[in-house]
Amino acid sequence: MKGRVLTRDVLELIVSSFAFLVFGMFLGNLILVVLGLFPIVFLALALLIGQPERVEVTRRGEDLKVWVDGQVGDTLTVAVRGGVGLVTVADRLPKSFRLDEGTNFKVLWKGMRDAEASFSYKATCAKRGLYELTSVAWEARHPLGITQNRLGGYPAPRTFIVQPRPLFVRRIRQRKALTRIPMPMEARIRFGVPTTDFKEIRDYATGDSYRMINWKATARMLSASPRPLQVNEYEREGKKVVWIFLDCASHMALGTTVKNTLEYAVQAALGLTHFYLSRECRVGLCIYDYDAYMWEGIFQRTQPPPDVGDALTSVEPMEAPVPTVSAEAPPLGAKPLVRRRIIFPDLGRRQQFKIMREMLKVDIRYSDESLREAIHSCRGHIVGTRPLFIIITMVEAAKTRGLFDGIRELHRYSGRWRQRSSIIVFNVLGYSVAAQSPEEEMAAEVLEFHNRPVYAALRRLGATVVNWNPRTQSFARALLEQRA
Amino acid sequence: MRRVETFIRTAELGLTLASTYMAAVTLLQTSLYAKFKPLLLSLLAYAEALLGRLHVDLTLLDFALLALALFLALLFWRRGDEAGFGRLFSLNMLMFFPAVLDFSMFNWVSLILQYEPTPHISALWVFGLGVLLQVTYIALRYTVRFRGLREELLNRGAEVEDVDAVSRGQMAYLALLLTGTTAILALLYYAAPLVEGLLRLEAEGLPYPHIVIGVACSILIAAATIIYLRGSGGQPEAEQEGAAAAETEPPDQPP
Repeated sequence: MKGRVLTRDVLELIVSSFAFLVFGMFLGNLILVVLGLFPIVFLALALLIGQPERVEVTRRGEDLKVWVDGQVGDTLTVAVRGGVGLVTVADRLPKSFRLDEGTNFKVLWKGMRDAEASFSYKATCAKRGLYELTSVAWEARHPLGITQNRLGGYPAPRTFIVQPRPLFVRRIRQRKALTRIPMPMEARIRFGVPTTDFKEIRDYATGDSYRMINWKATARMLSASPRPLQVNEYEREGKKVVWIFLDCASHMALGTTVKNTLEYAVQAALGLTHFYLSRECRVGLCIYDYDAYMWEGIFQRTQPPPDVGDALTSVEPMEAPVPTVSAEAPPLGAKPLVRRRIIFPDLGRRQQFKIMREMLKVDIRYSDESLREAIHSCRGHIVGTRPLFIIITMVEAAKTRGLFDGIRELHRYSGRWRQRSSIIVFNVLGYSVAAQSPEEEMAAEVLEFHNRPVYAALRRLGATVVNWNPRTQSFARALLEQRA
Repeated sequence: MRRVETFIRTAELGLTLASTYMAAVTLLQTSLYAKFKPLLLSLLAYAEALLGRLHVDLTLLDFALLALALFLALLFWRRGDEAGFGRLFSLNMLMFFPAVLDFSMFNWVSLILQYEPTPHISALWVFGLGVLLQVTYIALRYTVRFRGLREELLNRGAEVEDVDAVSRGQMAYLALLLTGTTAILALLYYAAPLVEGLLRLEAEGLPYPHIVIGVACSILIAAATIIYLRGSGGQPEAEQEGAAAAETEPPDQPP
């Protein structure tokens, strides 16, 4: 059993009581002695009728899934039992919620009888995310505050899913142009039905059909050196692939908590996802941190090597075992294990749902990989295909190395196709997003002007640069005004 | 200002004026005041003669003192904070002290000057006044906090009606406690003479002076009170349940 913690106030009363008693003794005065008992009796009575003991909270609403700027609401019923005092109940809402109606904070007085009260609220969700309200916080106070407040949380789970609103691009109609939103150039993938388009000659692998063996090539190779059988490889039929790389570096936080560069980038990513998925493309998503390019160490194994010790126990060692560094210890200069955020290409509504779910969680520094590392991580799904790469970021003249390194890495794996660009750098103009006054807008334009050489350099690298100022330009308009 | 807050302030004013008025009236009827009044009058007369311009009726001294005390009490009430009410309590105790001396067993004042208590008021009156002063002290101490709590709750976004209900409940609770305490104290005061004989028999057998026994008893009472207050009651189940719930990780729900 744990005792109550009294406040300093009580000790002051006891001291005053003690002073009365001592003074009464000193003067031999019964009146003072009895008066000295007044605070003590008062406190004893106050503690006998203590503060409320049980607080129960029930929710009447239901879990909700809304779009950004949508409204959620809930109704809570509070029941207080035992003791006397006041109880405050607060259903703590996330910071990005704005209370529109009602209240999420309730105060009620618990008298001699059990008390029950209800309150409800409606709030607007200004930012995407998965918000889980696990408990309702309550605080029970003694009516006079002579004991410390009891704090607790009653479990009352509620989930609000606030989905980012995609910027839908259904049709773009403009004179002189049907659409300028690029599509992936071809539909080569590693799996699928082989077409009649010859691709290459390669070594025979288990499972290859005998009909695919190129006997002439095999004979020619064998005449030079012992080689396995050679088979013809044909292009495989498949869906076109789009890779979206979303930047989540700290510079994407430019703007307010609710309307910042990252929020617009997420909307753009969802809009592009919707656009390409609805056109039967396979869409993959990779989230990276632009600032992570500063690391220049070696790539590190993400999974421990398979343990073959058990299989080799029966084998007699030929040499004395050489002491080795523990597999647990990371190699010198290796980057620590990173958070990798990749959704591999797929199609259909399921993929859209997966990307949407991932977007709920995206925040600043959500990933630890640089663009180059992220491309390296998903190279297995890039090599041999000709996808369309869309890099959504905020271009800054002061730091471009990460972006250029990433684009060069993309060229390494996919190459250039008939000198046509398959890389789009979707540049959200973050300074314009953050500008709040005409002077700041002018400053943003100056900074934007400094970026122009970077755009030119990116185009020379074979990328298409799409600049988007979300405050003055619609998403579709930005795509229309792209310059290759 | 809300109606409930007005009620609290009015109750504070009533208690302030009542306690100060009673303390001042009691002071005017004490032996010590009677002893010092001629001296005071002579001082005032000397001042009148010195200045030559004062045309004050010296017989109104009692009323002047009463008015001064009430004026100070009003100032303290107007300030309305804990420090102000603390000063009010000091003022009241200062006026109450001569009355206490009139009913004390040991006449320590006579060591300084010739003083024989001849009170014009009864012991019950003094006891009643003492209780009133204690009630005033404790009530004002808590009403200040009630007002502070109102402000805090309103700043946190509570609805005014709820806060009013809380204030009403707190005032009722305070009144109930003060009434109960007063009743118990009155019972103790009236029961004390009845048990005095028994206590005297026991106390006379102890080989220590009464002052030592008295101080020891006071320390024991204070210590016992602190131990009682700290040790009584336990943590309610709801709090433990809430704390456990707060530590539980939220379930992993896919959107």
